[in-house]
Amino acid sequence: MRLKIENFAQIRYADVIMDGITVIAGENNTGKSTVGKILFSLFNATSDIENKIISQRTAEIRNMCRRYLRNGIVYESGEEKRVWNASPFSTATAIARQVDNVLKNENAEMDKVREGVHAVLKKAYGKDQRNPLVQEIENEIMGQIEKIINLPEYAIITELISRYFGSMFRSQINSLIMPELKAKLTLYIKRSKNILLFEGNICADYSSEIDLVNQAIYIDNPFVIDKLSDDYGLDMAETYLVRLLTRRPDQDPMDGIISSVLAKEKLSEVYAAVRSVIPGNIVEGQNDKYFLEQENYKQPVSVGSLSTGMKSFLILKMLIERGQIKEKDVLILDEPEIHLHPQWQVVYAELVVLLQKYFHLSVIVTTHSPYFMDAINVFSVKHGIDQGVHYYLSSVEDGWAAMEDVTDHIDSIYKKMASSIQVLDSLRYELNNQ
Amino acid sequence: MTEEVINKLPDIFKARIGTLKKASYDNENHVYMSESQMKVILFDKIPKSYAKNTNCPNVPASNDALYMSKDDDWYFIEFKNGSVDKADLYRKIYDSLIILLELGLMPDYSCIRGTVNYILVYNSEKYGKIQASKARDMNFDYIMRLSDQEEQLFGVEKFEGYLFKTTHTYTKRLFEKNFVIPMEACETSGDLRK
Repeated sequence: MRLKIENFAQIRYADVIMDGITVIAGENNTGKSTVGKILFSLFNATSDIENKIISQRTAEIRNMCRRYLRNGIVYESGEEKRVWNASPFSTATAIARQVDNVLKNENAEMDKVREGVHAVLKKAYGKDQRNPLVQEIENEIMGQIEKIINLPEYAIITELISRYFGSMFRSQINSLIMPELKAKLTLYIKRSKNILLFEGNICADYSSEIDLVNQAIYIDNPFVIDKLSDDYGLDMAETYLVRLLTRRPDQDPMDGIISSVLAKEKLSEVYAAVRSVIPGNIVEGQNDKYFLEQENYKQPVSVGSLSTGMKSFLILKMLIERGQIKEKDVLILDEPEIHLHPQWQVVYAELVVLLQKYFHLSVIVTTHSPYFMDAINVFSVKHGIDQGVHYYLSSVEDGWAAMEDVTDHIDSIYKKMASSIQVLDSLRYELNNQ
Repeated sequence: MTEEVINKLPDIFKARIGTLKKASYDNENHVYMSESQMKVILFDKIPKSYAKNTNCPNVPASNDALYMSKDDDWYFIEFKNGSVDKADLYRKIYDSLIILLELGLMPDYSCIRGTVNYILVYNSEKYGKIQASKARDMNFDYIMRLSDQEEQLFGVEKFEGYLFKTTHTYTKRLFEKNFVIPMEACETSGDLRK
């Protein structure tokens, strides 16, 4: 997989290969996180796009029906009275569900939508079904549904993309230096490509040769662990992560026992790495609160009370144990070492390498830490995935960021990191000799 | 420097040959920063003769020693046992190079860039205000090793590729390891071959 970025936000040009683990290093404010944010928005806005479009249409239909049904009040002998028994909310939801079922069917026809909607309304009207006002409302609802269903797919997709990117980039997508330049993203997978164009900070064109099926998970801030029971104030990537962390497995607990056993065998190394930092199980308490059960403690510890370093590991532990990381997903880690002591940076790096190896993930990780980077380098060799590890150095010139592929000379990344040592040692010498 | 190299030197240099140990003498603290008996040009004696010959009213600054290897690599060596004044350090660098050009020992800067190296030897064993920490040094060494570069202090690395072929700042121990021992070995092996 390859992502080409042109004139997007701070990045003038970048061509980033993602074959396993892609490490992006560089000083602050050089566009490192932009790559991860682009991938998050691109994958989550456009993967499984057909279902997303249907969901968008049915959500709109539900809202529209609620409005119409709430207003559907008939005045009889001066008294205000609803003409049907069911509530506008449940009726609107039932209509949306009917439409959803029809649209998900391969032979979706408008007549079938009409039949379904009529059946719902008939049930809801009860004895008032012949009331002319009711007829009128049904006709209006049907007209609106038809309009929503006939909205061109393309318009919905570009709107969806604009919303995702707008939220991740705070509506600053096009360059601030040359706003008139079109921002272009090209995602290559094997020989096919998807292209996104942005103008005036909204998606101006989208073309796709590949149907993306995987999700992108963006992990930045370990404090999302404190927000598992209340996701107020979180941004789009954090909200997505919290939903994954708190989602209950949908299957019957007895389902997929064989695959679970296979996964456990395969993942024994992954579990061992996680256990070395967090021994114990996560349990759900009342009010959606989460706790960690540990041998030495008589009571489980609230996850909010754990150290920030442990929270970083806890996110990975919960994602793995709850089966939320899927084969070939995109995992974006923005400076994961920030809250970790070098010892845990090394453990975390091995965990990332193992996850890539067993789930065939595309991992994009930004870092400022020589320990973390070295550990990724060393463990990727140990676990035989080093061929898929690529290194990029970001830098800024004339306000534009660029990414240089330094896979063959990673010391240039370390050189940047080491420059502060020379400054400190020179100053130390001067102070010691004053 | 081998006899062969010394014999080819112009008279102004021949008159100033001494040991590296002598060049490393710290007048203030009365200590030597190297014990090596290798022959070098005591370069800090050159400016006086230079000023006299050119009727220059002020004596230029200069580095402590100039060493020429058999492979015709030249090394300016500056010993610093105490505080380092960057302006002073840089002036010694500029003045020393001007002397080389003026005396006709180097035709131009391009030739200097291809031939002359610079080594600053400093004393890392002095601890004043800042607490010593071997473990911190280990951490820093690890990162420097990863970056595949030598640590250079006092901004000396800015001259590499600009005025010098290479630049180095060595502690006494590193100077011994990276310069003295290899050069002595090189001189001796050459003698053996003869």
